[in-house]
Amino acid sequence: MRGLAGRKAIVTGGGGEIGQAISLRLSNEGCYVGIFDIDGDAAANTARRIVAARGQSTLRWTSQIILPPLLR
Amino acid sequence: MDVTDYSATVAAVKDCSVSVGSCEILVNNAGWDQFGEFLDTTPERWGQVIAINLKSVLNLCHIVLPTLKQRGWGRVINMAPDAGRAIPPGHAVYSASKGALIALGKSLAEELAANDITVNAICPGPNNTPLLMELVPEPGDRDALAESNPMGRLGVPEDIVGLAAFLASEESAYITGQAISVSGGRTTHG
Repeated sequence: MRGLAGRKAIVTGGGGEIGQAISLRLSNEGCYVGIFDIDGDAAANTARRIVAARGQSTLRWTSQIILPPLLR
Repeated sequence: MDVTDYSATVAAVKDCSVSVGSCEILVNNAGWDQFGEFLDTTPERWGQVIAINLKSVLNLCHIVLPTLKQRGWGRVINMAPDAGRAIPPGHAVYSASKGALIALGKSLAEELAANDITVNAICPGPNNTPLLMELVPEPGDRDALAESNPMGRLGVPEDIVGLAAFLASEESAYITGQAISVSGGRTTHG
């Protein structure tokens, strides 16, 4: 999608199913994605699933999780 | 992190900014509800529902929008399920909070259009998610919900992501203040 590569995004509720799907898609489009969720384990799970799907391993772990753009 | 807490949200947004640069696309997706006839609910429960569904969005918008304005580009996408327009029974306060998101988005869209910031709402119909399992615990009831949909099924998260990416992208630059249903034709008005 035009104009998404390199953009920085925040997805609240990023640990839920819809938030996870949106996080993955934006990440696939080349966005950095900050995953905000009240459930830190759920946010981490989103990050792990994305990493598992795409093999990217350089996550930043802070008070929330920031995913770099996925490798294509 | 708790997006209903303004100070905690300021800190989290700042963390993101320090790590990768300031936020340009804000997807307000966090939401919560618990089924119940309005007269059986309590002020404490209204407070929780409104805090998670509405106050969190006010927090994020208030914290992120100044940077978007400064940059002269931005995207805000609010998840406002069709409950905010189709108004199912048993979800009065949830529906009120989601309807408020649509109104908030339209107002912000006008305020921010000159800054090339778009604000739109995605309005999913019933989706096959854990929240729906909680709200409609009987499998038979969920089947009936699916069968009553014009497309004969419930939504899935993958139905939503294409619109989310589109509204976040440059392709939707001239679209703002809209509330778009993703419901298999269940909601065709508004």
